[in-house]
Amino acid sequence: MTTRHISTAFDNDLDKLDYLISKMGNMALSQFVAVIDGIGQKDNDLNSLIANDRLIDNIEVDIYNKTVEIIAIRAPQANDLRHIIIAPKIASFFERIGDYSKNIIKRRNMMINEGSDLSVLTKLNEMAQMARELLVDVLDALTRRDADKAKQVWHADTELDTLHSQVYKDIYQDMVDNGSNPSGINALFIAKNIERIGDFCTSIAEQIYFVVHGEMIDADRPKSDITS
Amino acid sequence: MTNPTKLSTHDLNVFYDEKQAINNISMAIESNKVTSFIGPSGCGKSTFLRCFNRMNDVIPACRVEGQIMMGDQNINDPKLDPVLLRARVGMVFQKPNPFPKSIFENVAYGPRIHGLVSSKSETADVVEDSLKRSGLWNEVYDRLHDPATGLSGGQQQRLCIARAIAVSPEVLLMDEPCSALDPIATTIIENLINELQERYTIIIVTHSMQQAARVSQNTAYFHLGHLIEYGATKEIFTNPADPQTEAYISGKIG
Repeated sequence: MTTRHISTAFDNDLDKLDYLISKMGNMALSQFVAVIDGIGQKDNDLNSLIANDRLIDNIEVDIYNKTVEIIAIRAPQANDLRHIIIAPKIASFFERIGDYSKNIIKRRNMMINEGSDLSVLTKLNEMAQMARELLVDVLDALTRRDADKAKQVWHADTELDTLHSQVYKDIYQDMVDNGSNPSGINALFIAKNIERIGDFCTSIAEQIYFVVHGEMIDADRPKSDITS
Repeated sequence: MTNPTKLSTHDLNVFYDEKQAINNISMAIESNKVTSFIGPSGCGKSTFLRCFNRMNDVIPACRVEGQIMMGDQNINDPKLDPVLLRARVGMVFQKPNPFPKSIFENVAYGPRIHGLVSSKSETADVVEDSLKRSGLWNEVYDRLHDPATGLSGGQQQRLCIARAIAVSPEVLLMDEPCSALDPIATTIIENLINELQERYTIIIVTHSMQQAARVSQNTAYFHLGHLIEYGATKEIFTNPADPQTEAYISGKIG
């Protein structure tokens, strides 16, 4: 099947849209990785990363504008239409990932201000790495329009949910045993933020599957997160 | 929801001399729905459309083989009178082609020659009713005896639709009915198609994919004389099953 359009301007529009999505996704990934890499080191000031969130948000606006322009001018059909219509939706998921990364920094700042040594955050390392892998994989699936890989991500998020439940119980129990403290509460919020980033990866995976197959993933996913 | 079948072809083949234009097409057209035929130039969609009212009879080199059923009648039967058939299966062409007569006479002609009217007042009633149903009445009621050729292109096309429906057909064939019209006149005709489907089964050939998507409930995609895909318009334009259909509607083949 031919993959290029007779109208090269249409192809250029789609390439531009893909470029913006890819750029936004990679910025969201870089932001998240920078946050989780520095999260446990108390002398590592993550505040400089907060400004990046605005840059991510700006690309979302570009994606909205490009989407509207392509629909108005090119009247896309079928696979093209799905390709275009998911762009703003995926952009909003990347925007949320950026927000949650920023929230993690803010929660961590509160912990530092409260005099925490941040040691509780080591409990989140495995979760953070798992979320990072989900994000890397879903970006790869998005670039290659790989529905099988998208579906793998969709399933793999249940492991992150399970781990989140364990971490939650662990920190919670610690608070029960040793008295509740603001550090524990903030650590719970950070864990939840990481878990939500995994959820956004599954939402993006659903959109990739939809583009390729024209239908949503038709399967049940076991619900393993007990905290929401 | 599926309506009863109005027309169906069975192993239909059409040849222009030795060249085969239509290859073994079997399909059913639902009654009181709009079915659009799409495909690149030369794909056979107009040839196929013209089979339904035997318009190919007038082309000496053209040979139509196979069955086309309307009810229990094979309309491809050489014994069938094509003139009577064309009263049941009306046609509207790409370029509006009113007779060089008055607006009134254009519409009255068909009912008269088919003996559907027996008095002046009855003729006037049919003319008024047909012009109303084609959405033209309000624009021409005070100048019915003016020459039809003085109307605008869009009005002429609606006059041709009035002329076609004046003989109470069951089916309306439209061969690119809007390709010579401006966007406003096109929208008016598309509205009309929407209204007319309550009474008639409509088949429209169009090069405008957007038009097919807007006006029809079913769409058939033709390529090189073959029926590639046929189904609900909504499916064809959102998630076509055949990669050839996908390529065509997305503008990927010339």
